[in-house]
Amino acid sequence: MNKSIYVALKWVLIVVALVFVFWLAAQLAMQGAWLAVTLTAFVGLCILLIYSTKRAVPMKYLFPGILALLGLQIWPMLLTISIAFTNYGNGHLGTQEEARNQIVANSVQEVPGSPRYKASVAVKSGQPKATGPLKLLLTSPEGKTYVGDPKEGLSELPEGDVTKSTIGKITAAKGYDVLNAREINARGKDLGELAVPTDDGGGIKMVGLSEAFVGKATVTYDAAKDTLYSEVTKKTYAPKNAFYTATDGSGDTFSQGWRENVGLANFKTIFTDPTFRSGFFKIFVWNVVFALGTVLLTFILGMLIALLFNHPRLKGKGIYRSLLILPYAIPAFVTALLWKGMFNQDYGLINQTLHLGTDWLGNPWAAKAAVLITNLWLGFPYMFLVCTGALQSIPGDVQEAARIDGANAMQTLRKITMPLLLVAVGPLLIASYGFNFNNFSLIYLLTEGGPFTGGNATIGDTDLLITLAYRLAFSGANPSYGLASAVSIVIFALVAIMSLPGFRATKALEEIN
Amino acid sequence: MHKRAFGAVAAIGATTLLMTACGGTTTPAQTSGSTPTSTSTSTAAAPATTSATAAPTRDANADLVIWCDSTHGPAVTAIAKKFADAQGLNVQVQTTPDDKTRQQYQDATKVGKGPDIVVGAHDWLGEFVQNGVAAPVQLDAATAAKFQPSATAATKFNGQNYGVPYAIENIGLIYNKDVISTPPKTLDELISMGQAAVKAGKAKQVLSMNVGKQGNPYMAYPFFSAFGGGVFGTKANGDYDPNQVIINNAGSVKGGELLAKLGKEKILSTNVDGTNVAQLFTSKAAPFLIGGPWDIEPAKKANINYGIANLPTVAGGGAMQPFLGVQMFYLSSKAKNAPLAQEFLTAFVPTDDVQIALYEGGQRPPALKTAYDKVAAQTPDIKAWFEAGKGGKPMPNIPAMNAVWTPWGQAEADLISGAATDPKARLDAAAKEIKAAIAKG
Amino acid sequence: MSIPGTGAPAPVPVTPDAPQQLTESRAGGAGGGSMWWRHALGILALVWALFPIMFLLSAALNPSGQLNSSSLFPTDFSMANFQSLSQDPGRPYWTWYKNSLVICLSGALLSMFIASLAAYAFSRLRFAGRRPGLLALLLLQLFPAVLALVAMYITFSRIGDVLPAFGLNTTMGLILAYMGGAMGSNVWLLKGYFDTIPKEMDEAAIVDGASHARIFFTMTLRLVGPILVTVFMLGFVGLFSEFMLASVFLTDVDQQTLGVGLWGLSRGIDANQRFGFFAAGSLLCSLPVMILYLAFQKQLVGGLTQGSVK
Repeated sequence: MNKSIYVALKWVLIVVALVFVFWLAAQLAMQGAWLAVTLTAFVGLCILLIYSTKRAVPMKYLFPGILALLGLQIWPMLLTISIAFTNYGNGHLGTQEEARNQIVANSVQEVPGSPRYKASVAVKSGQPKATGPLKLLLTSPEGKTYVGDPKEGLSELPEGDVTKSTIGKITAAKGYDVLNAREINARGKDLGELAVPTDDGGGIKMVGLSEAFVGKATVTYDAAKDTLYSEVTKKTYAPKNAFYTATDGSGDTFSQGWRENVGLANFKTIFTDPTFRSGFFKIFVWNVVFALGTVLLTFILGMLIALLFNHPRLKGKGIYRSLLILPYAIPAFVTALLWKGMFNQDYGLINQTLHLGTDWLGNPWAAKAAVLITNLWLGFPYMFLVCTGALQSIPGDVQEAARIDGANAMQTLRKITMPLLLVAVGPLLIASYGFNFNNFSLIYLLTEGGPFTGGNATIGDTDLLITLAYRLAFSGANPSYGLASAVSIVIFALVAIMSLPGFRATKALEEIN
Repeated sequence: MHKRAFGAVAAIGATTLLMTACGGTTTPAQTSGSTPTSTSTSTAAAPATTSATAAPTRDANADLVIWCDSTHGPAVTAIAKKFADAQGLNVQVQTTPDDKTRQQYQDATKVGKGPDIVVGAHDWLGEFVQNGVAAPVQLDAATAAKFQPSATAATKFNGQNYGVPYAIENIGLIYNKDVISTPPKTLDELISMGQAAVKAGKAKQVLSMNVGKQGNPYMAYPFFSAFGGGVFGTKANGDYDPNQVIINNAGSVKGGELLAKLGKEKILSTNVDGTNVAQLFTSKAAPFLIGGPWDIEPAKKANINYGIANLPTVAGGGAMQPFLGVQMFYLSSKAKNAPLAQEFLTAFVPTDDVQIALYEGGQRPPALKTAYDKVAAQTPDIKAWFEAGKGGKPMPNIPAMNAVWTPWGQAEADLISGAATDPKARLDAAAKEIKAAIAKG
Repeated sequence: MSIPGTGAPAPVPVTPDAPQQLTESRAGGAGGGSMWWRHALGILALVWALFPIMFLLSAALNPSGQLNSSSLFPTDFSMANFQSLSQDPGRPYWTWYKNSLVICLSGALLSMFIASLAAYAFSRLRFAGRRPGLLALLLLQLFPAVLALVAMYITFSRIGDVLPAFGLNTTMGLILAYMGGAMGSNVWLLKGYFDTIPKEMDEAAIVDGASHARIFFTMTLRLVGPILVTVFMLGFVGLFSEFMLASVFLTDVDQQTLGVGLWGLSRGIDANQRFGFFAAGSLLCSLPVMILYLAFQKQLVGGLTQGSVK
């Protein structure tokens, strides 16, 4: 009956998917990305094998998730890990060749005292404007007209053969077709490389659509020795630490460096650099305290409030509960900013209301407390939700039995309700611990890792490993993705090792039939 | 109950898909989740025509693509339209998220998806060159001479010119005219005027200046420059030299001592930061604000009768000279439309019309001399900002500056809060940290 | 649970699939007695939960748009900041709002779907690598994702070369990128709930000749409504305040989400200038989550934990 329709539908979907995969592979092949073609073909094959047969039932359900996992989580992870063994970072993003070309291209200076020409771009009449060899039609400041060719240099253009605009730019010339703005733009790449040689070793190059200047590269590359020579500084530069560095020992470098493999150097920095080594342990301890503290505090507060409202005769529970969710509904980066203002020593609400003089964001211990208080505020609604749900699923007869046995309210809570609650929310607590261990945005928004005490600006008192790594990667002195990736690998290893006991505990929570 | 919940989710899903379709994104069939039903969820969005607002990273039809931040978006869009009409072209202006332009431009250019031109601050230049994303702009000498010298200086890196400036910004002294009749000439005068206002009950504190727990050396720099201190020494050609860190030279140490003294006297405080610095002035708690053009709009909104004056001079030193920030157009090294971009930069941006249009968007003094003269004749505020910046030096645009901000700022904050008691020792420590970071780079 | 707002005690369980719910009265441990102290503490809890939001409200209502961090109550009343939300062409707030809704609703829905497929397999089917697979899912969550941003960027730039609709700066691309989070602790949450549905039902259906796909789509998914709502809701809230990935991905102001837009507004030297806009915008941000919560309140409270209760 219906079944045949579903089967047909299934095949239609499989075919659509395969056609798409085939199209994708073709696109990739055109771009020459053969690894990607292979992977795409493999995915296509998987789709066919998994969905066309009656076998591999689990894979039918797991495949979309596995695909998302491999492509969007594991692949970026592997890329990140591979970066840890390089110096990738500001000034070291590209290849050595790119850096060298940039240095030479950026060294082109206008030859002092040289004229500025009014210029237009043209091709010989009859040649296609899109591909024909380009010529520059030039008018010198004195009004003389020339045609410039990248091979033959300048030759004069008879006055009678040209029409000039009011500013002196040649708009038409006998034997040439002048390009318009769009046509010039289309040849931008050719124009960038085009220079009409002049006697003094420079070249006439276009600037924009109607001007040309005489420029000369002041840095030259010696391919045989792999060195650069600058006419301005009169120095020779050779590769050193992924920079072209002056060979005279002055420490002069070109700021364009390149990406290269550095082996384990980034890991070595983590474990040997004195600031790092002393700071890393300090941060690690605080990181654990922060994550544990957050989970405990939010859970306790959330549970207490849940217990408070978990009474059938309490009026307005719905209103209470809805309002308590409000902190959860506003993006955390907004509320963290508000808390930052409230913790201000002189102007903040907290000190003014409580008549304290605490330097919440400047004292290392107070700052830690401030971070925990803020995170308690941000996190308790979630725990409140969780506990409210869990309380309702605790069997009533168990508590009834306890009461009959003479247990008081407190004992019932401690001996009966709490343990049952913990079993119910246990996995969520583990997940919450994992999340808070890497709770980047809270720290970043509230204290930026600060305060920084003891005269350094690298290791802050509320820094987590993740905020430290982020600072290394994206801001601060020398943004280095390489070093940051190395730190992230170390973080991952640490958290994974720490959570092993937790994983064993999941065995108990998860029944295996 | 379950059925209803399921239905609600499904309804939301349907709405979402409808909205996606209206969002103007084209959606080819997706197979990554190709189980029997998943395809139906992901292919429902019909291809729709791409509207101007939902443009992809690059519009293939655009002859020129410009990126700028939200603040300048409308003004740049207007002038780009003028250029487009004059040349008969299609110019696309794309507004990037606040505070993200610098990073996004570099990321996108690196993967070949950047614009031809980007609008930004001059102190991005060193990093742009370092990462190979900015290309030189060959302005002819006559055009270059039309700009304020400080503006042209700011667009140079390693002797090469990289962009075309359009505005100059700097900090100055903003004061409440209802409390302070004439602006002070010296710092001592400022303090006594402020204290008199506090005594008279017209204010709660003397001065509001952004310091923060991690310091704000951009704001504090004038205290160092007044004594001849600064960040970097200069090379023979006038460029900043990353090998000469002078944040702990004799002048800088004097500046540090002054900051420590002002911190002790509670004139400056690390509790004044970006979140409350303007509010203290607009709520009339402080009659003086060391701030910039960005503080004017809040003051206007709060109906403060404000005035703008030069920063005062300090006893034992000279005038407090602020850093100059120059806003400019950068040419991308990977520009796909280099000829048009160059034409836009060299022939169009250095004109009064464009510079004045950009002034109207950003409220900063234009960098082109003639445009500035026109604006200053009509707008006293702009004249006041320009005067306050006279003699100031452009913020260093060399990449080594990235290594300076954090340690320098922390030293400043420590001196003001009293966490560090010996200015020389604290600045020496910061200099050491900076030098080590520069050496590592 | 009582019916929200009525205050009447709930004599019958509201969610029929949770039969052991009769016992609220004893759970709190305060055997009956007076209610006033509960209300007193409840109001205390509300003060704690809501006073930071009062600041936001004050700033949003203050026409000069400044945050006065020492006074809680608005000193001025004006809707000017709310009006400004639709007046800045460089910051199209309502476009951001629409983008956020599209991205978060579809992102949360899709990832819920992917996760429930996987959870079904983990719960119902037995295969080699089932347990290691489940543990691997937890383990992968521990990788600091912030640092994979660079890698994600490079990856999606390549994807955009082949499939422009899924590249950088596209809504679809960002939704796809968010699917990386689909196979996370959500799968655990879902699997726990799936485990509570009696296997006998599946077996009976198989005897009737139904295929596994039929069972999953027509039977199982309907039975696990509460947990689906929960996972959807958690996903939505998570995506709604996400700004790190989005701010790297979305380069055009018209493609931005609320998270990216408001985050940008709070940064930089001229953040003060637009604090009123920021405050008003942030306040309105809470609406979708509140509406979703109110709509799904009952499922949500039931769904969050039943998965892990045996």
